[in-house]
Amino acid sequence: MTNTKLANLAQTIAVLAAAWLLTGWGSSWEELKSAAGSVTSLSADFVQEKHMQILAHPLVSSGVFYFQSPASLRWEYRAPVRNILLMHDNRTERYVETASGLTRETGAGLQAMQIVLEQISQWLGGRFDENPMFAANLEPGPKIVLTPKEKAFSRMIHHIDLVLSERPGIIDSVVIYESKDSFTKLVFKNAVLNQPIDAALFRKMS
Amino acid sequence: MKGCLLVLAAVLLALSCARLPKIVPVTGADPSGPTEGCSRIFPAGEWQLLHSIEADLPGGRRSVMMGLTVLSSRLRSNRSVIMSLEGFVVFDGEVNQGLKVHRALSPFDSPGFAEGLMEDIRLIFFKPEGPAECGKLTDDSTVCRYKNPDGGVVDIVLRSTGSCESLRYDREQRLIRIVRVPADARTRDGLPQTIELTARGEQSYKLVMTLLEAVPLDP
Repeated sequence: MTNTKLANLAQTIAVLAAAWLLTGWGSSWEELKSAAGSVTSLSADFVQEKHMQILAHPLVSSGVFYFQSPASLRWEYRAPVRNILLMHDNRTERYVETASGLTRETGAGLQAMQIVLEQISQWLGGRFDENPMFAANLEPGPKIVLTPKEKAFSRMIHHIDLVLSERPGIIDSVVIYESKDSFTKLVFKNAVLNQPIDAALFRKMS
Repeated sequence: MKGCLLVLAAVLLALSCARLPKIVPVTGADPSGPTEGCSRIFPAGEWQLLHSIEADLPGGRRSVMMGLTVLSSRLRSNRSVIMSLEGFVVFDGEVNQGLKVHRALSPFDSPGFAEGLMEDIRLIFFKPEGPAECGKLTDDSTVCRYKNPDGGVVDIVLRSTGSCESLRYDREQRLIRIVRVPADARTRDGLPQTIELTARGEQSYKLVMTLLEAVPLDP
């Protein structure tokens, strides 16, 4: 797995988790799967904190994302480095702010995103327990713990915690553990469910 | 005819390779005294620095990453982390009386990558050790020249335009690294806002580093 693929996977995991906002929780995989079917669109702001043992302060990123069922996505970091991931009509594009403006990224990473897109469909369908890359465990809290199935992959991601809110359908946080002293925490706010989203957001970078 | 072309190409190639320029001593100045100007381009104290890194890589590939560096100028130590824009750590290494790699994912686990990265980090952030031979270049730039233990040389050049350069030459006196800090691109703490590194040789690449965050760690 290339580093780009890995990075995109991390991003996707966050998106997938965020897509669980407002889906209404259940106590079994079947109930989660059933509740997930009600999501047609979703948008939210997010704040991301990167924690490492060596850091005096966590690194903070922020942005916004939009999702339209079945598989249109815009995941946009606005700070500290603006970059935009667009997925629509089975096409994946990524733009990064550089000295010459927003630049389209090319390369293997895009192919990786096509693969990850399949996972999005799985998760949005509530099929956590059918994911080929992660074993999912539904724990009290409620919390979903995702653990890589392949040993080689576990070198990159140790596990992922999706902590669900007491309020049905709200996710409190997503925490991606790379190692015991390095993790990334995503917090979502201002979520809007099942409202119309301009389709151009999924096709154009600006 | 073909042989002549090959010879001509070899000559042109040799001429195109930048070589170590001569230093003109400044009359009345101490030629071995390191100038304050040559020192001030490097961060002093302990810092946590976060840069975005635009990398132009061999084969026309282009990538944007983030680089985190925690350094101590006094201890000449550093911990350097390369992350994706999403914050995923793909390389984590440390130099503190020796090199230690904490994490290296493909392709950052290739042989020699960690050593090469740390040499670049040293050139960018740490003033060379040892006595300097100082003077002027033919274009009137101020230069301080340091000899490396490996037989190579590092020139710290202060251009009349206000930009600064660290130029690393190998033992054959071929220019292999250029670190350029443009003029008037500094934070309140005097840290460079932008740093450009150009690597020459078989694996040529260019990095443009933009400072996103600088946290002083001094007590």
